[in-house]
Amino acid sequence: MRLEEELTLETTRVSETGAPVLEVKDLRVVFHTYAGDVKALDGVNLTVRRHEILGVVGESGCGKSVTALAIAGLLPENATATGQILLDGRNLSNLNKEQMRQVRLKDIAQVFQDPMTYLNPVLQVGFQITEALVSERKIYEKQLVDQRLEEIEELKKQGANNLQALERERDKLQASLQSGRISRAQERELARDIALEYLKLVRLPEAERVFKMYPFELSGGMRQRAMIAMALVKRPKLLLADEITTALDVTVQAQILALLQELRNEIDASIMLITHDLGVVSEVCDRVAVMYAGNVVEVAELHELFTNPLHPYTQGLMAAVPRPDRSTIKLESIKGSVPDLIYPPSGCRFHPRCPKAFADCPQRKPKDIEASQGHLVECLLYGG
Amino acid sequence: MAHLKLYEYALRRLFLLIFVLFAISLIVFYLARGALPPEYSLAPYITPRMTDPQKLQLAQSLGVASASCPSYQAFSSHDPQCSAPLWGQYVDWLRLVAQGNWGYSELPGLAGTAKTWDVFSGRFPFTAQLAIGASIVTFAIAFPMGIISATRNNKLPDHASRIASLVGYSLPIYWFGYMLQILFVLYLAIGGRGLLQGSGSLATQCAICFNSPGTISTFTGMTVLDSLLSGNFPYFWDSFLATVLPIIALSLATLSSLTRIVRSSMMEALRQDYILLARSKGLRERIVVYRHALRNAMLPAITVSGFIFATLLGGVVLTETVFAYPGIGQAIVFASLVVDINFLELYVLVTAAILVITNLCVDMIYAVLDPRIRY
Amino acid sequence: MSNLTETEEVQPQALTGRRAELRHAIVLYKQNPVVVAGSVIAAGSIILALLSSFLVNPDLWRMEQLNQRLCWNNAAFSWPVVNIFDCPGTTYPLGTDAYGRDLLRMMILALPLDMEISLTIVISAALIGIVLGSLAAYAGGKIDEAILRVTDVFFAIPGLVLAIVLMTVLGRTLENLTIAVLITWWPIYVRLIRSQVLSEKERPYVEALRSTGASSLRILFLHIMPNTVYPVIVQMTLDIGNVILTFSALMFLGFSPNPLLPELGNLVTDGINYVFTAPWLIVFPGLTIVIVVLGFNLLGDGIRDVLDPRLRR
Repeated sequence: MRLEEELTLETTRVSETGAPVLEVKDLRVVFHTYAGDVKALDGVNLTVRRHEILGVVGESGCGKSVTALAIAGLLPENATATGQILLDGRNLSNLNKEQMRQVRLKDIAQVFQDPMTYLNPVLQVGFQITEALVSERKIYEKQLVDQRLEEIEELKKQGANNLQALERERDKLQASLQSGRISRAQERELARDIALEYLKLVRLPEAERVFKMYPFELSGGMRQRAMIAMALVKRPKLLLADEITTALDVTVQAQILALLQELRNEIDASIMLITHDLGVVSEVCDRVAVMYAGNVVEVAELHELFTNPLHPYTQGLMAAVPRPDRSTIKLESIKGSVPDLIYPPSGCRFHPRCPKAFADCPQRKPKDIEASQGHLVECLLYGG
Repeated sequence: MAHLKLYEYALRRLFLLIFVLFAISLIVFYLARGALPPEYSLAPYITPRMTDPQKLQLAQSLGVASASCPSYQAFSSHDPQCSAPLWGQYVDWLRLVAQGNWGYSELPGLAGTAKTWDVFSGRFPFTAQLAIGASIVTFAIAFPMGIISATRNNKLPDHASRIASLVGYSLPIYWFGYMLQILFVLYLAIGGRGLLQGSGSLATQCAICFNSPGTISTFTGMTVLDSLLSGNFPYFWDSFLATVLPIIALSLATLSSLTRIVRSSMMEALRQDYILLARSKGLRERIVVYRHALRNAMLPAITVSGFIFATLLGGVVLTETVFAYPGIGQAIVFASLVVDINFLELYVLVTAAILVITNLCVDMIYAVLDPRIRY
Repeated sequence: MSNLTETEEVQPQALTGRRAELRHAIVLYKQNPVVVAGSVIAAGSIILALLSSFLVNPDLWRMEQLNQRLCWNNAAFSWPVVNIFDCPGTTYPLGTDAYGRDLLRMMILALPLDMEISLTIVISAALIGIVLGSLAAYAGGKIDEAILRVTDVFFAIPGLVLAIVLMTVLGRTLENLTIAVLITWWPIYVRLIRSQVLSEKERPYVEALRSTGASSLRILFLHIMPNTVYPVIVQMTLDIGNVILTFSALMFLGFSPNPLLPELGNLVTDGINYVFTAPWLIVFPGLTIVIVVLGFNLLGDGIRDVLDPRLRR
């Protein structure tokens, strides 16, 4: 009962989100390996709306990370991808490597699972946060200057005591902006300031000290916050968060999720939160997409999904969650195991494990059906 | 805080060096004096005009013969009365060495006898020239080749460099030296004369080893540098020609093995997760490879540098023999022919010291590059 | 609960477990022409070495025939050297050496000697390394320190230099040569095995075994050893070639017991005085060394490649 109560409180968030930032249409990815062709993604359809947090949930190996990599254009050499990926209306699938790199510079940011291995161990944390800003000057100059100018305005409004210095700085910056010449040193200073600001934003104590530290000197939670700051510093449109809490212990996990909630209002990005943990999803997400074996089998708003799961797989997931408020003796599980993606099942990939499968299931692959407002499902039970 | 620990570390290693040097000198000494008849131990200190009683006196003062030895004949016929304990001999030898007396050497190719220390130090710069040249060649070629091989993995440059490295690694240095000579003297002949002169023209005397006119002032003893610094360009060119083939022969094996190591550690680094993060930030590929991958890949490659230097120091012996090059490598072969123990000792100790100090420097560099070690 | 009748679909199953590993290893092996070439060469050398006494008169190397020294009459190739004279009588495919012996036959005769010495050294070094290395790693403490210090001393002297010193001091016999190179080589194996055992020691399964009361020796030899064997095998294969390079270099420098001895480095020594007058004396024995060493290097590399990425995955 408590779970449903909590969910009703959060439904109000949904109505605030807007038009889609990301549309993924019929994305298929095949990995060509020594053992055969792995059909990792089999027609993925996703939408991320503006300012929303979309949860992407599924077992290990269902293709969640592959989807994120495909969106960012970071698939390895032996992968072929087809389908459409539209970021703010712009089709990313047509872009070449260099253009995709520009997109990654500005619009898409990623945060990964294990900050120990994803941060370069021999470089300082602060350096890693600012390196893109500093080395791609043309792209970031204006943004950095604008950010600093905004900050100066804020400080003035709050009544800082070094008004004169601030005003001089503001005039100098505006002059540089006009003439189009910002020196390297200035750029580095600006980048450092912005980085410190974001380090404070992610609630890292002693931001100046952390800036100079190496990754191994920080705790797991601090490293993850630093990675989040690194992602946000470029003000992306889309943040892909791939299992960002999985490597952390539960208390730190809760802190990071709380941080995400707090940040929602302060940043402009939409977030795709990939996880295998339904608990994480229920904390912060607006809408949820459930993936299985390379397909998105169900998409719905958070409350809707938890109270009215339509796809048999989702129902199985919900049933498998241990409920301390109900006395159960036996834990439910979905029978069978994840299919081999080199030789996937025909038709609907879930049918060998599905308690509700019938004769048509191996024959036809189900299409997206809109079962109710905003609730999509791919299952022959509902038509298609 | 970090510097303090580096100091301690360096100090500890230097103590280890001293321990190692003593151990080595002891081992070589015991092997030499224990396994060989005592006349060999006396030989380096004997001058031609010595009479037998003088030799006996010398033997006793050196500790090679015991005080109770009656005559030189008894000594050379291994009369047990004359044998002195090895430990005492070692101490006496240490005493002499501390005074800088390494005895005399009479090596084939030397006109007459000369002090061992002088022979060694006179030839040392020539060998140093080769070793430094080969190190430069090795590092300058191996790193770019390894990086290219790793970044263009499984494409043509990679396959070519891998095969070249494997072949280079399998060549005997001495054979390759001769091959080079045959190639340049027999095949690449201009006007009936080989492009480079055959090894027979290099004299084994150290003082003036090359045929060019003019003088050079000795700064470092290394002819290539000295001639450059003195502005004597014919001499420089001559020296250069004399050293270029040995350097190529010497560096081939180390070049090949370093390329392989750079390649594999770069590939390892490029597989790491932080590379994916760097790419996801939109950084240019060049920055990803050099700043992120190479910084990490250099660490194993640097660790290997110590081994590479060891290989060079060993390979120098072969190279100098093949090219009749007047360095200490050639000398050690002569010394082993005539069983000149003192030269052997000097050579081994100096080589070991160089090697250990090089390893120490390599470790220091590693500590500087990898912040994880320092804390 | 389910209205699905049990229609088991027959789907192609991917291979699993050991069979898959083995099949994958074979696939990788076949895909890699370099490795295949290497193993062919290595196998070829071994077979040739075993058969050599059937192909060539084993006493050939003692027979000096001074009337046909340093001649070349193989019309297929001509050297840019003046004054080569024709060999009287039969055609010698690779010419004759300074003692009038057929170079090709001498090389075939030299193979078994080289292989035998090399294998002896490599296997002995590996055995010493296994004993001392695992002792150092497993016992730890003072024993480990002592063994490490000893290897430090040996590593401080470049290999060839140490061998030269030893050969100077000991006599010039084949046994001493073997011992000298062996003494140069064993520290490498001690270090290698020590580091392998050290990292294996920390694995959870060792702790589990200890808690069931298995004795240290049993754990060491039955469980840890098999897991550390792969890098050692790779190193041994590579070293077969490297050892040949080292002791043939020693022979070349003049430490061979008998200048007539059929050994590849020795054959090169014979040619030193005739570099520009009879170059084949140096070219062909050296080329044989290159091919044999290359074969073993390719093989060792290939084994490492085949084993390594699989373990990673």
